[in-house]
Order: sequence, then C-alpha cells, then structure tokens
Amino acid sequence: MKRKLLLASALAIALGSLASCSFIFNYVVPSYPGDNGGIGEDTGVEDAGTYNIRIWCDERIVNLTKTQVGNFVNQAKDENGNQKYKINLSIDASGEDKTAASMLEDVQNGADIYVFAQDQLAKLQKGGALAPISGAMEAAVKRETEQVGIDAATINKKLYAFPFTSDNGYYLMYDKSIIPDDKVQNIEDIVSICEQKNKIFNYPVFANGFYSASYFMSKGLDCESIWEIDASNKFSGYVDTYNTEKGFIAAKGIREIRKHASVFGNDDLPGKFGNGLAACVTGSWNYPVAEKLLGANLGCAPMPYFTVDGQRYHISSFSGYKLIGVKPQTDPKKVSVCKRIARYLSNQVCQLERFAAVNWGPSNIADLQNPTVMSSPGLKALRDQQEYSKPQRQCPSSWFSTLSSMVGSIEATSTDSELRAALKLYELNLETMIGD
Amino acid sequence: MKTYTDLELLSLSKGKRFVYKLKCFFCAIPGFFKKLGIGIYNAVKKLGIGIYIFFRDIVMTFIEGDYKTKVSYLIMGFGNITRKQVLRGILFLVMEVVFIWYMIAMGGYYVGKLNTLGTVQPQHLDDGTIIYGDNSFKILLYGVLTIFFIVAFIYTWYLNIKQNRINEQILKEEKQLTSSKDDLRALVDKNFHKTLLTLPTLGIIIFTVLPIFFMILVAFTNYDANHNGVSNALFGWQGFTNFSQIFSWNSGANSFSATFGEVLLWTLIWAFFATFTNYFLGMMVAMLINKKGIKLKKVWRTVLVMSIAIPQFISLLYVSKMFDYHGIINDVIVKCGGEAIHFLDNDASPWVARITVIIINIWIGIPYLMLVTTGILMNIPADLYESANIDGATKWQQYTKITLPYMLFVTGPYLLTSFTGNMNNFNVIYLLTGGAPHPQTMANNAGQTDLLITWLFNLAIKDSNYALGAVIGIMVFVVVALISVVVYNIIPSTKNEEEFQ
Repeated sequence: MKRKLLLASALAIALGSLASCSFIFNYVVPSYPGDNGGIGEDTGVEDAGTYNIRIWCDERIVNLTKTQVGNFVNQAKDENGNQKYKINLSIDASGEDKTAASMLEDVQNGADIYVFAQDQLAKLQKGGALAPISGAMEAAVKRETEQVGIDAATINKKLYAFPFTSDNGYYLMYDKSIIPDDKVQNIEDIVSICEQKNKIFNYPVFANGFYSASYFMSKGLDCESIWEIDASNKFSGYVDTYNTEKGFIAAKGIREIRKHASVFGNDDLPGKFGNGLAACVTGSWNYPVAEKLLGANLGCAPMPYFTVDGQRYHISSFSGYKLIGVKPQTDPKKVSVCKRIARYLSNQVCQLERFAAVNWGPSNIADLQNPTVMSSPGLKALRDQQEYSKPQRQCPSSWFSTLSSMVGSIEATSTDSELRAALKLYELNLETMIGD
Repeated sequence: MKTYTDLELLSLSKGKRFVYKLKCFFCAIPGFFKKLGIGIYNAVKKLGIGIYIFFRDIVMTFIEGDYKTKVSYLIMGFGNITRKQVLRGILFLVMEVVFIWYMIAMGGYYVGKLNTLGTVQPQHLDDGTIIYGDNSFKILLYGVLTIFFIVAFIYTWYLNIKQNRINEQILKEEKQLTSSKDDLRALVDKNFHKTLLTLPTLGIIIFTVLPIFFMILVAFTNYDANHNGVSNALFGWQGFTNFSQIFSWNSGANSFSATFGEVLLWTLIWAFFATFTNYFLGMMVAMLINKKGIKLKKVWRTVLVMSIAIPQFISLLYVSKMFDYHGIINDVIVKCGGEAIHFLDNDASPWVARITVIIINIWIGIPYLMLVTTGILMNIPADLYESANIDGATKWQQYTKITLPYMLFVTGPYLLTSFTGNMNNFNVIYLLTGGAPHPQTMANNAGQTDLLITWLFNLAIKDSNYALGAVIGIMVFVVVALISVVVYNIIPSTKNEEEFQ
C-alpha cells in the first residue's frame, strides 16, 4: 500500500511539474453544454445528409480540428435523435500565408472550409472564394465577437468569415534580464539600454509595411488609409492621411530611431533571444520561440511610446485576426453544412480548446474574459495594446509594399524637405493602386 | 569603300584596323536588310505557292477522281478501304469519327466561345451558393487545343485525298498498291523515322508549343486577380492594352515602362557579368590547376567539384545569411572597426546589392566553369605553345593568340546558352535578394535586383496578374531570341567551322 502511495505521489509530482512547465498544458477546457454554436442555427436549408468536406488549416491544429468536426457530427442530431450528418472529412495542413494563394489559384478545387489571415480577406472575396454569412448565424457571430473582429471579417457591410483567433497582432517582447520592466514604456529607453549593453532591438518597421504603419497610426497621430471597394470588387478610391503633418511627425520619429545602430529591422529575429537580442516587436506566432529561449526572462508588453519635438505618442499596431471561411458551393445544402462546421469550429468551446492546445488567442468575447486566457503574458500584452491598436482594414496588397518602400527611403533623408518628398511620392503611388 | 586583303589589313595599325572593321559593319547593314527582305519575299512566295498547290490538288483530284475518290471527300478512308488498303482506310475513318465526336462533344463549344472567352458570368447568391457560368481559362486552353486539332484534321483530310490521287495513278499504271502488311512493315523499315518521331513530336506540340501559344494569347487578355475566369469574373480579349503599358513611355514615378526598362537593363548587365566573370575566372582557376608544377591537382579539383554536389539553393540560402545585415561578413567588418553594410536587403544601395549578387554568383559558378574548361584546355595541341615559345611569344600573347581563340571557338555555343540561361537565372536572385531593394519609384513592386524572370514570377504568382506576366514572358522571349540569333551568327564556332580542324 505504501509503495502504491509513494508511486502515486511521485506520479502526481511528476505530472504537476510537467504541468507547471507551461500554462498551456495544465488548463482544462470547461464544458459549455449550452454552447453548440453552428449546429442548430437556422440556415434556411434542410441540410441533413452525407458530404465530402475538405478543410485547410495550420498543421498544429489538424488533429484538434479533426476531433472538433467529429464532435460536431456527434452532437448534430435530428428530431429522432439520429445523426444528422455523415461527413467524409479530409484535412490538409496549410499555413495561413499560403492558403489564400492556393485557394485563388484554383477556387473550384480548393478547400470547402479554410483558415486564413485577415489581410487576405479582400483578395479572397474578390476572387469569389468566400460565401457570405447571413441570418441567424451572422447575428450570433456578431453577438459573440468584439466589433474589431467583426470589422476584420466584413467587406461592404457583409460578413464573409468567422473570427477564429484575435492574436494576429504584434506587441513588444523583451529579455527581462537586459531590459527592466519599468523601461519598456519608451522606445528611447529601450534603444538607450540596448546601446549601453551592445544589444539589439529588432523592430521591422523599416522592412515590412505591416509594421511600418504602426508609427503612423500612433495615438494622437492616427493616420489612416481607408480604401473603398466598388460593386465590381475593385479598389475604387481611398482616404489616406499619411502625407500630412501628423504623418510627417511619424516619419520624423522613424528617422530618429533609424539613426541608432542597435535598432534592426529584420522580420525573423526572435530566434536570437539569448544571443544578442534584447527586445523585439513581433506577434504571438513567435511567442513559443521566444518562450523557449528565454523562459521566465521573457517579458511581453504593449508597444512603447516615441517622442518627437517633446511630444509623446503611443505606437499603435494592427489588431490581427485569423478567420475561417467557407467556399461558395453549387449545392445549397453543402454550403449550409460547411457554414455550420466553420461556425462550430469558431465557437466558444472550440476556441478555448485551441487556446489550451496551441495557445491561440480566442476572439470570442466570453473566452476573452476567461482568467486563464487573460493571464497569458502574450495575450495580456495584446489586450493592453488593444486600446492603441487599429483594425487591419481591407486594402490593395501592394499598399504594404508601397508603405515599406516609403519607410525604407526615410533612412536616406537628411532634411525635412526630403522627408516630405518621400511622403509625397508615397501619396502619388497610391493612385496606381486604384482598380486593383 | 576600299576592300583590303588579309595581308593589307594586318599591315594596318590597330586603330585603322578598328575603323576599317567599323566601316565594314555599317556598310554591311543595307546588305543585311536587303538579304532579309529577299528572304521574307521568298518565304511569302513559297507559302503562296504552297497554298495554291494545296487548293489546286483538292479541286483537281475531285474533278479527275473516280467515285471512290469523290466519296473519300466525305467519308475519309473510303478510297483506301475499297482499294484494299484497309489499315490506312480505317485509320483515316477513325480520325474522322474522333474529330466529329470531339467537335460535337466539346470542341465546337470551345471554338465557338473563343472570340469572347465566355459570356455567362458566375453568379454568387446571398446564401453562399454559386452558379458557375463559362470558364474563360478552359475556353482559351481547349479552344487553342481544338484549333490545333482542326489543323491536324485538315491536314489528314488532305493526305486522304492525296492518297486517293496517288493510288489512282498507280492503278492506272497497272502497278500494285501497298497492302496493310506492307504499311506495317514500312513502320519498322522505310518509315522507321516516322515511328520514332511520332511520340516526341506529339509531346513537343502538347507540352511545349501549346503552352507557348496559350501564354502568348493570355498576354492579349485581362486575366488577373479580378478576372480569374471561373469564380469571380470572366476574362476577355483586350488587344494590345497590356503591351501598351510597356511601350507608352512615361518616365514618372511608378511608371511601368520605366520600371520595365530598368529591369531589362539590369537583366542584360547581370547576364553579361554572370556569364563572363564565371567564364574567365573559371578558366583561370582551371589553368592554374593545370599548370605544371602544381601539386595535389586532384585534391584541388575534388574540393571545387564537391561544392557542386551541394544543391545550389542550399548554398544560396547559406550565403544570403552570411551577407545578412547581422551575418558573419558584417560581424567581421564590425570587429575590424568598420560599419555594417546592407548587402542584400531592402536598405541596401542598388549597386551594392547588384555587385554582391554578381560576386556571390562567381563564387557559385567557378567550379562548374573550372570543370568545363579543364578538359578543353588539356585538348589544345601542345605544339602550338611550343611554336609560340620558339617564336618568343610571351605568356600573355600565348593566352590571347592561342588559348582564348581556341576556348572561344569551342565554348562559343556554351557561352551563348549560358548568357541566355543567366538572363533567366531565377534561383540566384530570388534566393539571395528576392529582388530587393524595392524603391518607391518602381512600379508593381519590382526591385532593383529583379530580373525579368523574377519580376514575372511576382506579377504572376504573388499579384495574380497573369496577363502582364505573359507580356513580360513574351518580352523575355523576344530579347533572348534576338540575342541568340545575332550572337549565334557572329561566334567563330558557327562562322569559321573549320578554323581549328
């Protein structure tokens, strides 16, 4: 008996220590018997039957998705208690960066349901690869998701996808052993510490339009680039305030930070934590890498402030979402079932299961209030940043490269008039994107 | 203009010789165009005669032929079958039946829609259902395929008529017609070349000619992300609109024509340096290793050959990391007291990035050229060098008068293919810089190290602008073809074939 007790205690200790390695592994998803989002919602079509359905999603969630679709099938019963759907499911691993391109290459042979990054929404909708979501399902999604998330999935007031995660934005990750927690509020402090200690601060503001916009969108400057889409799904016009006095302030801020040798602009530096990198601006997709390298020394914080002419501005960021969409089908029943499955995969329970499995931040309002979700350092930083972040609106794909080209050219400017010329050239380039 | 003999020419000073050659070049231009004009005239004349004979044969055969021949105009192979050439007759008949079936089943539809590339647009309903309409992509692809098939059918029909005429002639002369057995035997004997060439020819038509034809046609459409031809909107013909973007010169910011000019110029510069730096340096390394007195020759060669064994993209990715702003090269520079340099990224100066990729390409290309030239260098007759030594020629003179002419003679065609290959050298640029730096002033996100081929890739794959990509593809073809034709006619390998024999 004693031996059994000892064994049990040892096992408990071992499991406990394993669990304490990361909150990811010790979180048990609570059951929500009431939440069966997607299964019973009225789609206006009687859709019981057998379907061949193909799903594309990130390789990390392939098995989980398979289980979740299985749960959907088991929970969907007709009035006699029989299984309503028989799904012949095939799931392929496809990174969000590739999914949109693969879908648009051949929509007819693409996946029926697929997960993609928010910035691909306009492209996919334009390519005729997304079925709109309406009626009871739309109302339910709007009820359960923050407005920013709904905006992320909406074009011309029509909802085209279900918000899947809310953590596709970026924030500051830093090495606590180099930069103290109270020194991450101002970019000047971060840079100065890095210079003193001969370390690197990586901020891809110079190389990638996704990050370049952050300075211009800073609180107090609030530069915007809003693009109109006409009935034929082409970008027909824009309101862009980057080439303004406020944009000029942002450009000055970028030029100032660029002068420091410790500031680098690479996209993929989190792997250098522990090897010269003190801090970097990146997203949750790099959190596991950083956590592995720094462990308890990893700090996460919202974006810092920058100062120009004595005035402080809080740097903004894009609040990025992952979305799950459904391909238009020739069979109304199949499109209805696909929407049910996509809706189910994005419901409260499934999002929480994904958080527990791969630490993907939920977009569901109730999940966001969950104490375990709130305690995740990366997600907490994102939540703190939310006040300053902006939704990533639909824009021509070349807008990002045009913006990063402009920011890239700022480095070469030495006078204010050259800086204004770079902004002017950026504005001129916007014209060429009309009709995209 | 006075024409010099070879001896007179050699007696002239270098400057006068150059001026004379320049004059000869310009004086030959009118003659070249005259020759070209005559060539085109003769080709058109020949084509006209060919068409005349084609129609004359058809009409005359019908007028002069017997009823079997006349029926063969409608029922292919009828004449052959009734004249006991069953195998030929059946083959003709099968071709006709397949053609009729294909045209009714699908060919007619695709050819009929080819002028519009489809009219029925896809309809997206509010519930997410789609009603697919025409498919512009399929119409264009199968339309072209059907046209090829129609041409093949017309030719077969003409052969069928021609055979009837020949058979009638043979029978009139009271000779024996070939039997089916004879036909089969001929396939492995007299017509063996046809047996062997049928499959490769079909392969070339389907996998090479057809896609080229298709790509050329795409350049005249508006096939892009907004018109994918299936699920959003059909694409259609739009004439020379895409070409006009290249040729309507506009030097302003983001001008497509200016960007095209810059990319083309860099492509040519790159191809020139990538070819000749590798060639001369590779040759130099080979000569160094071949030199008498060099020890461990096999080891040196093996070391260089080993670098070929590593897949190029791995070497390129590794080198790109070395030249990264945070890479080992900059580490060394910084440790030596210098400032880190942006070699290949978006912050790099265009010429720094361009020179860097040329240098990296040298590093990758030398082993290949060393291998290619080693064997050729060993083949140069040693007595040539012995004679030169006796005549008191310096090493440099031996190189410029013996080694280089010999090498250029033997490797002339290789140099040409290498030059055209480098114009389309996708790997080096794409893996090293991805086209960077990308300045604001260049259109369609082109970069300053982009070659036409990498730009085409970005236009077609990243921006889904297939039509513009096709235009660039055609321009690449035109430039490569022009250079190939001109250079091929200049190089000594083809001009003076017997120089070294």
